[in-house]
Amino acid sequence: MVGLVDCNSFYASCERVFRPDLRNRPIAVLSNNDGCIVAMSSEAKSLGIRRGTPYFQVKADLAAVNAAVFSSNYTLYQSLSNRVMRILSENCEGVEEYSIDEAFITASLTGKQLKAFAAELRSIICRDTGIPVSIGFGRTKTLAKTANKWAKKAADGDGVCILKEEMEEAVLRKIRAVDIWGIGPRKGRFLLQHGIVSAWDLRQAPSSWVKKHLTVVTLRTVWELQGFPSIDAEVPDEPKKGILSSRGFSRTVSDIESLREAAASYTAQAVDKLMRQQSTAGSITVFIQTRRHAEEKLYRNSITFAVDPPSSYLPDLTKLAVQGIESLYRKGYAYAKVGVFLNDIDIWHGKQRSLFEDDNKTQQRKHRAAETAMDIRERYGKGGLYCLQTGMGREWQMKQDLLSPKYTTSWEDIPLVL
Amino acid sequence: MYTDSIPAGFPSPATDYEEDELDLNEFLIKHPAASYFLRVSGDSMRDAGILASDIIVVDRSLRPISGDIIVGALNGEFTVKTLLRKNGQLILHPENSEYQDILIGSEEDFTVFGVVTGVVRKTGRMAERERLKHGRFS
Repeated sequence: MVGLVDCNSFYASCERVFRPDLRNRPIAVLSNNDGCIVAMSSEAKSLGIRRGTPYFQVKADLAAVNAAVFSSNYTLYQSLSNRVMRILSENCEGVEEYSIDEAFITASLTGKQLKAFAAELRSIICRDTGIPVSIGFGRTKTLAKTANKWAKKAADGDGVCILKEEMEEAVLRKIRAVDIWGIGPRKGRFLLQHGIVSAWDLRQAPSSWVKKHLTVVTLRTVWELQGFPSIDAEVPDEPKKGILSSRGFSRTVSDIESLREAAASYTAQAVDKLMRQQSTAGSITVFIQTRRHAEEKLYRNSITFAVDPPSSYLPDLTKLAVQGIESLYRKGYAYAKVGVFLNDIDIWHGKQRSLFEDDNKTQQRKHRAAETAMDIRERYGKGGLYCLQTGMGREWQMKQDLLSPKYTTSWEDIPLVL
Repeated sequence: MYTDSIPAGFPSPATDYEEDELDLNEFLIKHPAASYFLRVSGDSMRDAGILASDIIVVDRSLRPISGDIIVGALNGEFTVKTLLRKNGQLILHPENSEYQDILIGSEEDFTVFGVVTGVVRKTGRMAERERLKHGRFS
């Protein structure tokens, strides 16, 4: 069967591992720039706060219940995620990491043995990492997702659910179609209008109707609910369609220097991703905007340059990004956001792209330089090498006032014990 | 990348006998996914050779038994002590006569974080540097 291992309230659970004083306290984790709530512990969820709510709207409510509030500490979350994934790969036949806090696993066990395996795996992960997980098994990935949801819901709360074929109807009848993996609110509303309420209704929907009115993706979901595996393992090598690197500033900036630095820095981040998938970008888009709902004057604009020949060479792309900022910049506005978008992405083949031999040589040389830069950044950290345009002051850097220590990755930050 | 290219001369007769250099991580850590480093504050474990500002290696995958040095979470704070069980009574025993045993009663909020499996400390000038950096722990 296929299993889905899902870490419960992952970010909040991570914040708790080295803070025994937070054992029963509500925890909320904020998005980049401390803007919105992105994760909550079960205690905080029970206050009725929804994910995505702006922090300032619920700040008082959270304070009233003595909640601990944190900026997102992605370094810590990734480190603990790696530990969970490592335990999975040591104990399971097959593992497919699906996200930072979820992985599909395979097991050839059945019945009581499978249940015992899942229960033991769950307790090993919790014991070794301090992160609680739920495990659901089903005949397909979609059914495993459903089983996992069911495991979280169950009142007895052992955190494990094996969705056997003979139980499927009973469970799917009790779950709304909109809550099935891959459906979402928009499709959910459409299904509801056509009388498809429960996941069981969706399972019974005629294929031709689903294909006609929804997408083939939804059709696959229906097949999966019927017990036919239709969602393959993600192909890791497939390059991304476009790479976006953008963030709001902690406070607005009006000077062009800060915008240049920000654009150069975001270009570096995007190129990092580009290099990691060994690809080149054929175009680069730069955009800037003021705050959306402010009393101040509004301005937003973007510009796109072709990168010809396609490249992953940071200095060239940085030059274009900075050029973009210079043509977009207007005096007298308070800018809140800058972004860089790399598009027309293709895998780097190292093959000839230009008729002119000299150009080819330059391209090869630039690609080698880019790879060397990558190595340096990997070895010495992201600050190891940067383009001078990136600046060193980082005045515009993102706001993270409530950041917890990097307990597992920084010697300065390891937890204290009396 | 160039390990196989020997432009001239004879190949080393030791090539086939080469082994990996010793690795302290491997020596100290049996279960990498379950092991954490913590820094000691205070001298309550002095006589067990665990001093202020030492780094201890804590393995969460081991089941603690009486006599183990453990890190526990007691009423919301981490503490490193020897765990003893005498006639069903759990005791956190400091290895320093200036400190008193802590009896774990039912009213106490107590869990074991992990078992201490090693101590890491720098010496001499290196230790001095460490102390300057982490002065607050001694």
